[in-house]
Amino acid sequence: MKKIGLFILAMVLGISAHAQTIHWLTFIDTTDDNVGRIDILGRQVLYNRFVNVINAALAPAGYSSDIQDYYGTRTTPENCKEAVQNLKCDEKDIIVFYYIGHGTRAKSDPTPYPQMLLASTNIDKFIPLSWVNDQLKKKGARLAVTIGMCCNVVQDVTSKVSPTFSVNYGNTYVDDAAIKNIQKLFLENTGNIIVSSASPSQSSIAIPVTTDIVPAGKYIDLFTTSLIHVFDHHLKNNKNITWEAVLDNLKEYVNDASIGRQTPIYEANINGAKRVEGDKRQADPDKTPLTQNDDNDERLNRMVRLLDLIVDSSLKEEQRMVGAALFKVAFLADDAEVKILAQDGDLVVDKESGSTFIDRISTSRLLLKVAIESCKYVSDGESIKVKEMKVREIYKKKENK
Amino acid sequence: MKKIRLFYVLLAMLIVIPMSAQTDSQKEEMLKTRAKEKVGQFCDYVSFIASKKKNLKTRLYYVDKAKNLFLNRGKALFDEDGSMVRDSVIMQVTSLKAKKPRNVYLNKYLPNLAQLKYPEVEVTSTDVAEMKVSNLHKIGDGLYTCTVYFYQYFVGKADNRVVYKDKTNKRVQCYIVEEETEDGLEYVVLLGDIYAGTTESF
Repeated sequence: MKKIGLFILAMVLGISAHAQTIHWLTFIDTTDDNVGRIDILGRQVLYNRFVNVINAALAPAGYSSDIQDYYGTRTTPENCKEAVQNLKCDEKDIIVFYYIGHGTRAKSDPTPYPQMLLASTNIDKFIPLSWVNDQLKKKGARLAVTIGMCCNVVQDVTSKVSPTFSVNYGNTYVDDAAIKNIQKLFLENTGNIIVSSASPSQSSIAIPVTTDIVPAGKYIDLFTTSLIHVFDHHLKNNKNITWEAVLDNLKEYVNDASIGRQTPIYEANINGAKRVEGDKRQADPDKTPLTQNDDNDERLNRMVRLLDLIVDSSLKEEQRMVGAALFKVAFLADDAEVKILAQDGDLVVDKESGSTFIDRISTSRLLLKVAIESCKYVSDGESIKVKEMKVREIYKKKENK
Repeated sequence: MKKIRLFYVLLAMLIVIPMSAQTDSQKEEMLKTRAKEKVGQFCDYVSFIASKKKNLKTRLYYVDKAKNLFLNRGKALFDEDGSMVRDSVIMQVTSLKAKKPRNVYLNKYLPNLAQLKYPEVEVTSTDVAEMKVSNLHKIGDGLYTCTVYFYQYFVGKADNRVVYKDKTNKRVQCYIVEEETEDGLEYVVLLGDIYAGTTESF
């Protein structure tokens, strides 16, 4: 009865769901004996400092996120091929593919871009980065970005150099300038971009990380760290940001940091275009119960889409409240607990009951985005509900008075 | 709630021990930032609840949610023996005419804020990223405290004219409860008393 009441209320209030999507396909080889540990950290930094920030900046423009996060044993050539081929998108959608793992190339390769091993040793299954780029170009999205962080040489050993950077373990604050710049890059360009972390015949190198949170001796890939660093610099300082400016700077930065041993390459086939806004069309949010059979990414994406609505301070308070009530009924177990993580690392800096958490985020005007890190579920008959959810919160940074 | 009650006794004894050396400085920074975020959220609630542009029913709903940020959800505080110590945490208030801080319980302050006499009210505060915060101090087993400092700007209007405005520096006592779980140490950040300092016009 309660569910029917909420459904009717949702229809009456015209709950809006974000109609446009940024699709993330990330394939990260976290199980490799040599580089797996490096890539675990690379994945954390990529999500916490790049994916979550971009999603947060696009949310106010009406974009929701569809994250397909392949790591561990799910990183396979078969899954990559399937995910790329099966991806469906709208003409206003954006696609970003990011691979972290081993790469190689054959002498006869027609392009300067590497082949991705995707945790496989079967050379017949390696997938060329350029194939991914070609496939994504055909999807009809307004912008497709394909990035490969891997070696681009037959010998795919990841080497190490002396310390250059350390990861910054602050919390996530995105100011208006950064939001505008991210929106400019993603919403005012059409076309496709392909980036390789290294030029042909070069390896992609790893660097040590030295912070109090990450134990000494941990390594992270130079390219991903540099991308985050350069991207952040341009977001804050570049009033005329372009993809070319960011990527040229990234090439130079990685080349300098590796003392000429690694130079990223890219092709940007993009055109400046009229800014596109996501339609906040009237739609009934997907509150279908979660089941054991659902793919985990799909479960998380469904919850994130409703969280995007709940967090959206441009909506009426009543709409957000209804979204909050729907979320509680559809997804949360009665005793659900939500743990809030800092931007980097896995430290739980705060905890709340599921209900208190949803009430807080549905009444906050400071939050830009809530990213779900992981969930534990409990069976509720045929469906399953969230017993524990770990999240990261991304906040707006405003001008001080 | 046991730990929260315990902290109260310890607080009364004014035992303040610097956070132990083995406590990671990055961890401390993260918890301090979280305390600022909680204070920032409260300031946002204050701004919303005071605004006459929002309907009263919604603002009173926000009053209820704002209390969740505080010790014992803004309800009465008890000591270890279960005796009530206070009705709730304290929110000190001042004005240009009455600069000496006056203690008001949070569960009275917030509903009053929703029904101020001015036809229009704007309350703004220092941005979270600009708030200052003290280092953490250990006040008991698995209990820490820190203080977050911010400015609150109050403007009362009538017929689109400013009829009153002030700026007050405030500080919030924040409590960090450490919990040992099977996944390691986890924390809960809660707000306590809010003190008013100097009030001036701006």
